[in-house]
Parts: sequence; structure tokens; C-alpha cells
Amino acid sequence: MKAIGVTCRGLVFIYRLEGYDVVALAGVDLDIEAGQSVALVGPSGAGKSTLLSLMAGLLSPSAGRLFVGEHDLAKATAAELQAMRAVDVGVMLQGAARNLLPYLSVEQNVRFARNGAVARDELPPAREILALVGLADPARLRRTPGELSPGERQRAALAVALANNPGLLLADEPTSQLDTDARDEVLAAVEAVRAAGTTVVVVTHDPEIGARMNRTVTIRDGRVGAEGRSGVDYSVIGRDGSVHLPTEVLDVMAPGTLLRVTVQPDGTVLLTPSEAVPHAGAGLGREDQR
Amino acid sequence: MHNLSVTLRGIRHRRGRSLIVVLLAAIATAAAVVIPAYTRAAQQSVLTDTVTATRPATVGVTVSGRTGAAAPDLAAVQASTDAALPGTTVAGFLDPPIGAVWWQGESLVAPARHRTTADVVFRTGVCDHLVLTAGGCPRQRGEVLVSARSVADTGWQVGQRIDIQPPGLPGFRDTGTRPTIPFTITGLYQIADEQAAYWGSTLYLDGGRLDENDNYAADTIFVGVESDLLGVPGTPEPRFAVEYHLRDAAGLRLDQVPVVRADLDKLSRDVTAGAVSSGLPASLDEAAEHQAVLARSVPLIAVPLVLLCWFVLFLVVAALTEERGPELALGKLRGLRLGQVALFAVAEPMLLIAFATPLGVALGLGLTEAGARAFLADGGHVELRGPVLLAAAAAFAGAGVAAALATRRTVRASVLSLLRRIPPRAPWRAVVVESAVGALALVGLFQILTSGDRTSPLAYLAPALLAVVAGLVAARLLTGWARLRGRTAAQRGDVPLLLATAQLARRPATARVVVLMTVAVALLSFAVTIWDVAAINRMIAARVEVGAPVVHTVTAADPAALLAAVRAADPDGRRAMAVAWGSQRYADENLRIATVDAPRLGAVADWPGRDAAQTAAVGELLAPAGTDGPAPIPVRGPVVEADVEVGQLTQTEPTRLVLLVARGTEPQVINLGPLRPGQHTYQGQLDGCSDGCRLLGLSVRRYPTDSTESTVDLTVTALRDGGRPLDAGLTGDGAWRAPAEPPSGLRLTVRPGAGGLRLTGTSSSADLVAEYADDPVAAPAVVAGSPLSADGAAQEFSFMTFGDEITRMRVVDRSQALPGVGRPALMLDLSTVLRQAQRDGLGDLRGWEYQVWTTADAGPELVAALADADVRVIGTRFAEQRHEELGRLAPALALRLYLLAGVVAALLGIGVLLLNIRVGARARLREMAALRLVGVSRPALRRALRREYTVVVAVPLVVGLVAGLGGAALLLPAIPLAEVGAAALEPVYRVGAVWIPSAVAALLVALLLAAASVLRTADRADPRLLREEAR
Repeated sequence: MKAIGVTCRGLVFIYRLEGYDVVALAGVDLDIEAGQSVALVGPSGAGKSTLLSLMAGLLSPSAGRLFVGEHDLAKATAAELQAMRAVDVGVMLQGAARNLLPYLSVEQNVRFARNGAVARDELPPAREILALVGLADPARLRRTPGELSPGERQRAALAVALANNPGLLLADEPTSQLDTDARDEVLAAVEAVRAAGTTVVVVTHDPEIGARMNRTVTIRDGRVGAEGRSGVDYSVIGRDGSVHLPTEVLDVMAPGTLLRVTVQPDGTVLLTPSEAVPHAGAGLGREDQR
Repeated sequence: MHNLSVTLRGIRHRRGRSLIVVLLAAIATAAAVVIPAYTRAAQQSVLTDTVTATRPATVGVTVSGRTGAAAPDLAAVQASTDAALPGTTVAGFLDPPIGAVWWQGESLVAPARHRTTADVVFRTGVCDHLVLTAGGCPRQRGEVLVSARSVADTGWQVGQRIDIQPPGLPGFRDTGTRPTIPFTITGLYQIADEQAAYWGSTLYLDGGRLDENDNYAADTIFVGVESDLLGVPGTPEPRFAVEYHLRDAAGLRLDQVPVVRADLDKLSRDVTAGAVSSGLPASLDEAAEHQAVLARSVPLIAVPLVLLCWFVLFLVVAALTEERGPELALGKLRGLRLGQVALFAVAEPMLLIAFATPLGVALGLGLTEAGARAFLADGGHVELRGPVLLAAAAAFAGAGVAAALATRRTVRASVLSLLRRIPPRAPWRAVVVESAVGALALVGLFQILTSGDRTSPLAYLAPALLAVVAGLVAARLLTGWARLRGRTAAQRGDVPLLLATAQLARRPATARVVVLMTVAVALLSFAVTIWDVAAINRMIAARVEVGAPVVHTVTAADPAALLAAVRAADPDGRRAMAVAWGSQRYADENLRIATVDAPRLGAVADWPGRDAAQTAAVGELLAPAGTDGPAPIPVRGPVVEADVEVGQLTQTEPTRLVLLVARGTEPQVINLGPLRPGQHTYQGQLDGCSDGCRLLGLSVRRYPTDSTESTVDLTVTALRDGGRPLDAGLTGDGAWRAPAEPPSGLRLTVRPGAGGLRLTGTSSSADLVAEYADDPVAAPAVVAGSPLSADGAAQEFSFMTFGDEITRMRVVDRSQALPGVGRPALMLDLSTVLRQAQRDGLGDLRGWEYQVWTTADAGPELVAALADADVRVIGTRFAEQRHEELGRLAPALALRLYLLAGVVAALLGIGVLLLNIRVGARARLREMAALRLVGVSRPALRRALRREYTVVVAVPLVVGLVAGLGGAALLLPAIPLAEVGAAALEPVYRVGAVWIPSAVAALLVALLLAAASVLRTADRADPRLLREEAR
């Protein structure tokens, strides 16, 4: 397995519904380095899952570029996308049961997921993958998804996503609907995967997950609104110069407020509302960001 | 993970749905397998029935001829035949031969009480088939057996010597050179069972008749050795027959038919000792006619069923695959190639179909065998042959293609659409396919309806096509209606109606269910209707053909003896009726003439379409109880006299006055003396009439060679019988008449007057006859079938009925067919005919077939009473048995398959409805849970479901019923309902009160029960389901 990075440039996706279009992603710029773990967070409907589906090759970009490792997903054919998912990308859908065939045991599910792999012999044994997510007990491996606890089922789903030893794991809400213990188990499993060198991208509402990832990328209104690194949140300047200000700024400056943007000699940028006296709190210093 | 293992686990996981796929595939395979299997079994059954219905001697092989150089004796004939038989298939079906030798023509036998004639016959092994009432079997030359019955009339005894003079050479005057051969009677015989196969088709007990001229016809005399009959000088060489009766006719298989035909041809060529004949080819031809009908009709009946099965299978697999969408999505999500995903999708149904195929073969063969045991002849059994296996392979392939096509759409769908829980809309391709199928069906129907020839085998497809059109139209109209009603419901805020119409309008699965159920109901109602009509027609045909519940074919001295014997055996006239019938060639048709004891017609005969009272009324018309004419006058003699005044007599040749009377069944002429001008009394001797002979009339007999036109004018002033005046109505109107059909060249008037009966006539050669009119001029007749006169509607016509005599008839009723004789046919009163025969002679009536028709409860005592009167039963037919036989002929056999197809279609319809409920149940439950979440009440959901499924059940039921009845109306004129070929009667299009209402009621109950199960969904819809499913 070789970790895979992701590059999004001006990524746009439009859902075409009956009679009108909905812009789900409006130009996402995002780089995920190989081996990184990233949590995509943001309000419901912001486009997190859409971005994940694009990375998995389940949707085709309406515009922009999207690279998953060497794969240019904007140009990839259906067969190339299938090959990508068979080798490089593991996908974990929201809801553990949706990732598993209900009539196969956990181990059989993992094996089934490998049917598309080209070099199956080079893959690690299924039990090794299951052990990675904390499912080592042989008795449990023989159980069908319905016979597992919710946490075990979620980890089994994770194992299935990892069946082909992908370089990139995409997981949609891996801890939703779980109690605390089960969530911890899943987080531990995800951590183990990341530690094993796999690039991990997780869509989540769970701040705990975000805290455990290298990066937290906030998607808001179809764009990357902010990033959090090492517990600190940053706004991100888009390619077009746009910046999503933190929500607490809205408490100070209402939407529609005119800002004068002034670059200070010390390299900081001063944002001054048109009818307000500038004060130090409104400025964002480049040094601070570091 | 191994694919097979995943597939097997998937099948086990969906065991209920998998079972449905197996059942459907098995039914489709069974339907396909039934085509060749049932055709074969039914054809075999028809063959067996046809061949076994004929006497073994008739369908066996007979080598016959005249003894001579080529065939000096029976041994030589048998040797010649036996030499040709080895190696032939037919040899395996032939019994050991029975030889017979006989003198052709009657031999004179003396001494006897009367001038006695008899047939003299040698028949191998005859003593084994006789009951010897006295003496023993003849073993050597010069010994004979005579019938015990004949002895009573001839006075012969065991041990007595009799002299037999064989018949002379034809065309040679008897010069008295014929030898008289002495024989000794060694025993007296009775035939134990005259219908036993041994006797072949020859009547040996056909004698026992004494005619008016004191000639006695004795029963057959059997000689003990063949050589007694051979080489008698002055006598034609005796005739011989070596009969090989057909053995184990039921064992004759279809495969053997062409071989047997070829064998018979070969025998005809190879056997030189005599002519080879067999009734087997005719039987085989008759069977072939029915087999052809089966071969044409069975596939056309079964193929729509197979197509329906495949279509249902397609829908089922499509629905199941759609339901498995999330699983297929997982395969795609894990990078399975398209081929792998397709295999993953199709493997389950294909494996199930593969598993179902042998089950279907077994089911098809089992059903066929069960059908064969239930209603086919003993020989008709299922056979595992090449065509059966081919049909199974075709069914497997068809089911496989249906399954593959059904999965195609889902396999090609994207991962996200597979994961989506919203049911997909009907793709435009489905609309195109539906339109194409509908258009094809319409074109097919149009062709059938406008071709003018509905007897084409393609007509069998009409009901299926009509059903498809009706189904598609019903579904489309329903969808449109639901859309309109939905809008109204939305405006009115009628939530249940809105939900129901939304489901009807938007779910493609519902439309497909409506199509399928409509087709199913149409096929069932069509099948039931056509079966009902056919069953009625079979009963009519059986009753027309047989005539009464039981019909005995009997031997009797003559029709009068038959009539007397039956009346004596059943004096009340409630159980038995004498019938004599024969046929006459007329206008390229065989016209059958039945003479019946008309007053008993109502009590005994089965007249289709008429009850006993109506039938009795026909009998009354044929033989009115009170006639307008005078009563019959018996004359006893010994002397009869007539006072006659001859006013004009232009003949120069001697002319006689004769009195016509009937003694027994024949007319007698009493010469009263030469006619002379002036008033004279004429006198004649009347013997043998002490019991009274019927007065028929008076006649002026011309000299035989006189052909000059001459005139006679005379008046009969009085008649006396034995010296007593005879009140013969000479002076009153209506007692005397001229013949209804006078000979050509005769002009005759017969006028009673105050002075007596005046005859004035002119003729060139014909005699003048004045008939005593105690019988009708024209015999009342019932006519069936083609008209017997140029004017088909004529109420009176003349017809040459009995030999050379022209009979005047008056049509008293018309019928589509007559009991016992069918059509074209005539029915007359036997007594009337016999009274006419007393004027003209019995003619052909002697050679007619005599029957006794009885009710079902006339027991063996009636047969015994008839036997006491020397009327012996030689064959018996039962109407019920004939009805069963008709049920095994091609039309009924084909219609049974229609019925089976209809029932299977109905089951498929119910199954599709259930499946529609089951397969969509989970999604439906989620929908309803969501609706509950937004505040729709449970009763509202129940009402919505009830409305939806009421429409889903009612529309197909009504439209299907109409389409089925329409299909029946279209096809009924095209198909033989009871019999095929010339024997088929004009069909009666009538349905009973049981079949159609029962079928509709059963179907309605089954559909409602199926639909009722859906109502539980509303009760189980709980918003918490949505949360649980998300985990």
C-alpha cells in the first residue's frame, strides 16, 4: 500500500434536479497530502459528502480538477474509476449496514470486497485487516453483520473499505449513531489505519474525530471555509481571494457590512468596517497564523 | 470469496423470494415441456382410443379370396401369410390366425319343415367358442353342428342325417347336376358371446326367419373339417378368410404407425394366396386427423403461457435485482468490474433457474402424466423424448435471457442511484417496448379478424393478443385516471385518495402488475368460457350421436318383429323404443333415416335442446294419436267380393280387378277376376287372413305387355268380406284416394259418391290403384341438415327412401341434428313406415340396422325379454361413455390445455400481486413510516392502501373478464368444440351457470385475500423504523 494524496482545484459540482440546478460545490481548492488524515466538517448540506463522493469517483466533477493520486477524476472513464476503487481508494458509506452484505460473515465480507482487486495475492490477509480495526476474535469473524454490536459493525465496515489495502480511505460519518464506547473503538480503528500510513478523509459532524485528525477542513456553502490544524482554526483564502470569516465575526459585523482591507506594514491585514473605528481585534496578523 | 458461495448465501438469505423465482422458472419450464409431452401423450391417447374402439378383427389383417390353385386350403393361405409376416412390426400385434371357409350363397338343407336355406361354414376352433346344448363337436368329414334355435323351426335332431345342396355356379342355370352332400348332425350349438372377438365381424346367428313364402333361413351350419367344403363339383370354389385379429391395440405406439402402415403395404404385395385387407389404416387416418388438430393447437395454446411465465419471471427478477441494488452498489464500490457485477447480479436468478429447470421438467412431465391418467386413454403416457429435452433447454435459455434482461438496467445503474431509496420511474425504453408489444398484438388481432378465415391455427393466438392489448390499455388508462384523480384529491385535501392515486400513477411496478393481472384474468375467463361451451357441445354431440342413454344394436327378423318385441318387452313404453335406421346417398351426402316408435320418443330419446315433454311432442307430431282418416279395416276372407259397375273400359287386353290387402309386412294381391263392362260382382279367395289382413285398396291391373293408352271408368258399389258387407266408406269423403306418387302416364281420379266409389283413369301401361286412406298420404317427418328438396323450406317432398319406392313426406319439425343419426337426417315413425311398407314392401328396411334405445335404468331383464322374442343384442353404446370418449378427442384435449393455461395464468396473476406487495414491502413501510412522521394518521394510510388495491384488483378483473369473453367470442367459431371433420355438428354457443361465475368468484376471493395482506403494512408503519434502519 502506498499512501495517496488528493488535489482539488476549483472543484465544482452541480446537482441537476427536475427544473433547476443546485450548486453543491462551488470551487473547492484542497490539497491532502499522502498519509494525512483529514476531517471534512461543516453544516449539513454544505457539500462534505458530495466532496467525498467526488473523491471516490462516484460523482463526476461539473468543473474544476480533482486528482486522487495519479488519477485525474475529471477525465477518468468508468472503468478507470472502477480500477481506482479496486486498488487505491477504499470507501466507507454512512451507516455501517450499507457497507456489508447481510448474509456474509465479517470475514467473508472482507474477502468479497477483494474480488475486484487485480493482485489479490499481494494483499495482506483478511484477518490482518480485521485485526487492524480491532476485530481479531475468530468467533466474531464468523458472525454476520446482524449479529454484531453497532461498534463492531462499524469497524467491520471499515475493514471492508480497507479490504484492498487502499492508499486512501474515504469514510462518511463513521461514528454516527454510535454510543461513546463504540465511537471510541471506531476512532481507535481509524487511528490505527492512519498510523498504518493510509491517507484518511473522514466526513463527520463529530468534533472528537476532527480533533484526532491531522487537519480539519470546514466546508461551508460548497467551499473550503476554514481549516483547523493542531487545534487552531484558520480561515482559508480561496483562489479567487475570497475568505470565509469565522462565524463569531458575524456577531461583530453583520452580513452586508463593508470592510476596508488594509495591508499593514508589519504584514498583517486590517479589516475596517466602513462606519466603525478600526481596532486591533479586527485584524488578522500573518504572524499569528503561524 | 468464491462467487458460488456468495450466490448460495444470497439465495438462502432471500429464501422466500428465491422460492418464487424457482417456482416461476419451474412453471415456465413445465409449460414449455408440456407442449411436446402433452401433444405426444394426447396424440398417443387418440391413437389408442381410435384403434381400440374398432373391433380387433376389423383393424386386424384379413387375407381373403376364393380357394383354388393359389390357395388350395387354409393351411396354404396361412403359410403364404406367415412367410410374409416375419420381420414386420405389425406381426407383433397380431393374434394367431383364425381361418374360415364357406360356400358363397345359401345352401339348401333338407329335410326340414320348411324350405330351408343356411350358410355352411368351416371356422377353425369353432367348438371352443360355442356352447353345445346337445351332442358333440364334429370331428370328421360329413359331420355338422346346427344351431339349437334353428332346430326348433326345422325339427332337426342330433344324429339325424341332413342333405345339403351347395349353391350353384353364378350365371348358370341349375341343371340339377349339383350334388347333394349328406351330413350327420353331431351337436346343437348356441353362441355364448356373439360379440366375442373370435367371431370377427361376421354374424353367424343371422337366421331364424320364416318369410311369407314358407322359406326358412336357418342359422349357420358349421362343418367339422375344411375339406367338406372344398372341391365340390358344380359349386363355386368356396371363399376363405384368414383373420389375424389385432392384439394389444393399446400397445400400438405413435412411432410404430408409419412402420405398421409400411408393413401392411408390404403384406399386400407379398401375400399371393389372397387379398390382404385391414381396417387399421382407416383407423390410423381417423386418429391422424385428431393428431393434426392437437399438433396445431397445443403449441399455440401453450406458447402464450410460456411467454407469460417468462415475462413474469422478468418482472420478478427485475424487482428482486432492484431490491438488491445496494448489494450491487457495494460490488461497484469495491471496484468489481462490470462483468463481475453483472455476474454477481445474475448468478442468483440463473442458479435458481438452473435448479428450477429439472424441477420444471419433472413438474411438466408429472402434470402431463397426471392428466394422462385422469383423462387420456390408457396408452397415453408421458414420454421423455428429445423434443421434451429441447423444450426444457429452450425454457432454460428463455428464462435465462429474461433474467439477464431483467438485471441489465440495475447492473448499469450508478452506485449512488443504486444506494438511493426512491423507486425509479419507468424508463422510456419500457414505454417503447410496451407500445411495440401492444402494436404487434393489435396488428395480429386485426389480421385474424379481417382474414375471414378464423380456422387458421393463428386464431388460437387471438385471445392471448387481445388479453395483452387489454392489459396494456387498462394499465395506461388507469395511470391516466390516477393522475387526474390525484390532482382533484390534492385540491380537495383528500390525503388517502392522494396517496392511493400517487402510487397508481407513479409506480411503474403497479402498472406492470395491472397488465399481468389483466392478461391472467383474460386468459382464465377465456379458458373457462370456451371449456364451458365445449362441454355443452360435447354433451350435445354425445347425445346426438348415441340417441338415448343406452342404445343396443340388435338382430331381428324384420322391423315389424323388432317393434313387436320391444313393445312386448316394455309394454308401458317408458324404457325402450324400437329404432330401425339406414342411410341413403343424396346430393353427395349420406342422408341417415331413422324410423322410431314415435310414441315412445319422449320417454327414451335424448334430444339436444329439448326436454322430455318437447321430445314427446315431436313424437306426437310424427305419429298423431288420432288421425283424420278412417280406421283400418281388417279383412278375413275366405272369400272377398266387390260389386262393380264398369262404365267405360277401352282396353282390349284382359284387365283384372284386384283387392289389395296386407298380410304381415308385405302386400298381397287378391285377384277378383277379369273386368267386364256393366254391373258385375267380382270374387276372390283370401287365405291366411283369419286374424285379419289390412285392407289396402283396389286396383285395376292391366295386362303386363299392354302399353296402349286406355281409359277405365268404374264404380265400386259394395264390398263384402266372408259374405258380410264391408263398411269401407265407399260413399263418403276421405276414405279413398289416388296414390300420392302416381306412376308416369297415369291420370286417375278417385271420387266417392252416392252410388259408390268411382275410379276414372287413363294410362298407357300403369295399373290404376285406389288406396284405402287409413294412413296419411305423406309420412310426418323431422328433418335435420341439408334440404331434401329444391326448395329447402318445402313442407312436403317426395324422397326415395326404402329401395325403389318414392315416399311422400310432410315436414312436421326441423332440428339441427337428430338423436342417433345426427345430420343430414330424417326421422319417421316406424309404425307409419311399416304401414306404408305394407303397400310397397319392406324394400331396404330389411337391411337396415336395428336398434333398441333404452333409458339408463332399463336393466338386463329388458335385454333378456328381447332375447326371448328373438331380438338379440349384438352391441351396446352408452351416451355417457360416448361423452367420455369425446372428452378424449382432440378438441377436448386441446381445450383442457387451455383450461390449465388459464388456471396457471390466474395463479401467476395472484403470485404477481403478492410479489408486488412483498418485494416493495420494506420500501413501502419506510414510506409509510415517513408519512406517519409528517402526521398522516394510520386510518388514512389504511384507507389509501384499501383504495389503491381495490383499483389494482378491480380493474384487471373487469377488463380481463371482458377481454376473455371477447377472446372466446372471437375464437369459438374457429375451433372444433366436440369433434373434428365431417362429424362435427353446428356448434351451440351457450354457457352454463357454474363455470364462469365460479371462476370469477374464486379469482376475486384469491385476489382480495392477497390484497388484504397489504393492509397490515399500515399498522406496522412506525416512525421509529426510520431511526433503527439508519444504524
